[in-house]
Amino acid sequence: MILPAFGVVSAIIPTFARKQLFGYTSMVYAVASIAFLSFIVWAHHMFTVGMPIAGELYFMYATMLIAVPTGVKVFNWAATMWQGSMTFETPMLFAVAFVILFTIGGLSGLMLAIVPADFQYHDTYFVVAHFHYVLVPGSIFSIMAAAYYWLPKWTGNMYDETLGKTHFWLSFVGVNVTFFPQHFIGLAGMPRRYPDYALQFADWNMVSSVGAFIFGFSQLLFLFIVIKCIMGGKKATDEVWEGAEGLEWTIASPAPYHTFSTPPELPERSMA
Amino acid sequence: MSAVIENHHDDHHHGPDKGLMRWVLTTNHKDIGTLYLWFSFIMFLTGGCMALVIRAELFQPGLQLVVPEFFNQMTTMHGLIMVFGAVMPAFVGLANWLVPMMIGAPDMALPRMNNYSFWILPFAFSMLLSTLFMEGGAPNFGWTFYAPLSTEYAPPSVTFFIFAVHLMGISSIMGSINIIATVMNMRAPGMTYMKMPLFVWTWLITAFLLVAVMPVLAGAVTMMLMDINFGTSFFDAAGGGDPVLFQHVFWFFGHPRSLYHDSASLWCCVSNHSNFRS
Repeated sequence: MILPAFGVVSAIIPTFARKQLFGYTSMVYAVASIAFLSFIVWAHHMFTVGMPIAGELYFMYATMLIAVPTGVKVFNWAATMWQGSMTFETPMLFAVAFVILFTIGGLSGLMLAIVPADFQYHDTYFVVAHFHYVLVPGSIFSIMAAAYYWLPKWTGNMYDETLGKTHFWLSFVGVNVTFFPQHFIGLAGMPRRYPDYALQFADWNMVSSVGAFIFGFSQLLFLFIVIKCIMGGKKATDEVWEGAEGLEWTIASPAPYHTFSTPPELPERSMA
Repeated sequence: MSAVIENHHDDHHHGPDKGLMRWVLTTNHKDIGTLYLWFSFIMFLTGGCMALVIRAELFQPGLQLVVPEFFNQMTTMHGLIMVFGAVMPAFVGLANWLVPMMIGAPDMALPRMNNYSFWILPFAFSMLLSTLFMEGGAPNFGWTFYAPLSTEYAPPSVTFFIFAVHLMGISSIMGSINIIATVMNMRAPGMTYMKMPLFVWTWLITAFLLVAVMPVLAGAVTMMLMDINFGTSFFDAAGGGDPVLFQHVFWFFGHPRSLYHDSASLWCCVSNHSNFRS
């Protein structure tokens, strides 16, 4: 479920960099390649189960191959921001954090893809740290970015920017305090899925738990921001964001119950 | 004829029905998108509470708050709810809201099916959550439900878990077919594939992926069901089966479907960065 996250980020970064998305065509092909490759790497979850050496090598290299299209995407996002007139409203903050933190999840994934290393890391907290970096500041941050980005279109009102930024920074700090230490305790050998652990892991586990509570409770702030935005606030314009492109910004805010009953004329400048 | 033309003008004044039935019966992509997003947020908080139970227990070494059996149920349910209940429906909700608006379509291609695919989910997750109150407790074998933990050594509630997974699968497949049908057939004139916003592209590809892998998951849980209740031994070595088969089947579904496909972005990011500098 990370692919639609890529789509969200590819919508938000061009808007707040006030530039067209760099490398649209390569983005499409990169997504298709990632989808194809994802079908032929499954046994990298099973290196320790026992497999012929040829199988382990194949799944290791196939997994590493995913780095290529993913790298294309990260490159394109960076190139889109390059020399853009950037502003950092809440959706952009979440989108940029997505690119950076998701990339950390990518690095730990690469470490896990290496068979001999995986024999050590398998079923430790390192794996937990890895996939939470992919899922929380990956998928969840992109969903948050999308919510802030399109909320004015959905509700007709702007959300509270100060509260939005507060929510972002609390989430950003919370996520990293929670999951970064799990890399350390994982590499030190703490297994996942146990309610108890050796004393040597105590310090970082405590830090991680504090971060989890910061992250968890800051999501109640998000709920408050969304409800506040639905109840009222500064009226949103149709375009909402200065640099936004796409058909959804040509209709009224809030979006009428029925839209495009007759097909629209496409704007002059294509979204590509 | 004139009535037909006037209808077009009426479109913008035609509002939603009032009350609860608006949400139960709706076929409007915006309403269904909203339903998906709120559902996903509720599941996000539910799964989040479970995560906080886990982290509260792990705050200090030793056993303080929960018994180990309950801890296992929390890790399992946290994973299942976050992956299937929070992340997944949130993206479907975004797709419902945005795909028609982005490609200039009046609605999703299959609006009634859209309604079904949402309303299956509350039932599926009520069933999954109800296992917490059953004898023997909720599923406790981890969100990857490896056999034989999830077959031979599973609590009785595993059958409810299997049915819940089947329902989620049906919902996902219907949602995906709907997105594919919408994107392929309902683009505004001039909206060629290579002009579609990337969000639409990524969802189109994801939808194909889901249609391909959800039946594999359904196959895995059906084989579990057979092993538990009907005396087969797909995953039982004692009867000629193979527990490793479960892992192959699960991850053939699990990898494309969920999360990991991006294992390796930093490598490239780093090399890109040095390219920038040089």
